[in-house]
Amino acid sequence: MMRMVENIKQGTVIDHIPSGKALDCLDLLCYNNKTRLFMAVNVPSNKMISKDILKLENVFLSEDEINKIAIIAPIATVSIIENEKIVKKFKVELPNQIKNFQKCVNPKCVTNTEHYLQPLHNVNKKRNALECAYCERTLH
Amino acid sequence: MNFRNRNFVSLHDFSKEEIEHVFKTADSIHEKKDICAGKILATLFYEPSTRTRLSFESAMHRLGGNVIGFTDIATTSVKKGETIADTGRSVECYSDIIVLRHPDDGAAKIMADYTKVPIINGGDGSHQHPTQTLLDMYTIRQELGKLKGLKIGICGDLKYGRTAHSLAEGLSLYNNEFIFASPEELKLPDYAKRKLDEKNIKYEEKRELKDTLDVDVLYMTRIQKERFHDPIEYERVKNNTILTKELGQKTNALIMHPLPRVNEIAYEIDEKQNAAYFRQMKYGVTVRMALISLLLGVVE
Repeated sequence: MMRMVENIKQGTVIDHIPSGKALDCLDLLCYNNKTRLFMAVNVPSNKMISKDILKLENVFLSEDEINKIAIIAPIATVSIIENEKIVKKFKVELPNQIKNFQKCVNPKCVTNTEHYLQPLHNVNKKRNALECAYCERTLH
Repeated sequence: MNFRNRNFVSLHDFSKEEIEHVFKTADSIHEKKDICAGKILATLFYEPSTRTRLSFESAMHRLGGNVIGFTDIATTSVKKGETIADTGRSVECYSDIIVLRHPDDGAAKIMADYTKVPIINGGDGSHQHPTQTLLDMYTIRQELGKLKGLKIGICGDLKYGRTAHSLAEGLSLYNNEFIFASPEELKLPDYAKRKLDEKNIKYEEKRELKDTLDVDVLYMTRIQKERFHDPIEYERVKNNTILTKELGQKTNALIMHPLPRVNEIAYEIDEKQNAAYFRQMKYGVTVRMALISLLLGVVE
């Protein structure tokens, strides 16, 4: 099969992202590195019909940083690559809190008036929903 | 159980057992004299209040402590743009415990995050007013002798009324059923219902108060005209949630109200033994005395 996305020598590969969600994942990761990034969108997949893939060259994010994408990519798998070899592989897990994802949807929420605050959401794992840690309003 | 130096920002900050411990402490708090002597309570009220502020101040005075604070932000540095975090960090230098009332949802958590003294949420926007819930629950416990196995009617503004949501949440810790009565425009929001559904709590929704009289507790709240987009609609439904003298005679439920009342309970009902809304205020001081003492660590 023809290789669709170039391999990276070292960095982070995020696989099994739902189709069309790769850019949202980058947003969530606050990705603003100047290094190379490969993105494959709507790739055929046995596991999920079609998927997106991200390859972040020379970028090593901690599990805590990456886990926040579980809210939009719940079955994503992450591979850490060093010298073209996978040195660590794990599935994302929903964290208890997600920082700086999106502004609270409640215009009366204090996070929208006190400028020094970063948005902070608690993850309600029962409902697979995000709740503002300040006003408790549900985001998703 | 350790309460010393903790915050009480949301009802979730305390477990069911801890809430019951606050009530047990309240039962005997009036016997303890001057246990907060030398301690200072700061009441920071960014918006108007009669009962909550005076109740907290009365509680601290009865415990032998002192009170400082403001009730009008026009006379403070808030007017110059000072943040909640900085106000908290300044006031903690002058006091041992802070009560905050603020118009923004979630404001109490910020002050709690940025200060080292205990913060009590005295109402933050439409988010939470947890000490109101504590005093409501304590009133039911004292008046009916129990908190579980009750049928609770909650009537009035169930959409914006934070007391109604918090009370339902607090009482859902026990095995209680609810009837919610409100005009369609002010019915219980989906997110509040979802919380009840998650706990498998039984509840019904009605549009008129007359269908809510066969309960153990009837909790009335105020309906504000400005909540209606259409004033004609307000005129049409406003009488459906008023406890008139006639309806009052048809119920033996414990009648409660967070106050202020406008016209939703007829004055003739005030003299009835089951009208508990003024006794509720007294219980409020008692519960707040217990809460302040526990958070300051002067009782355990």
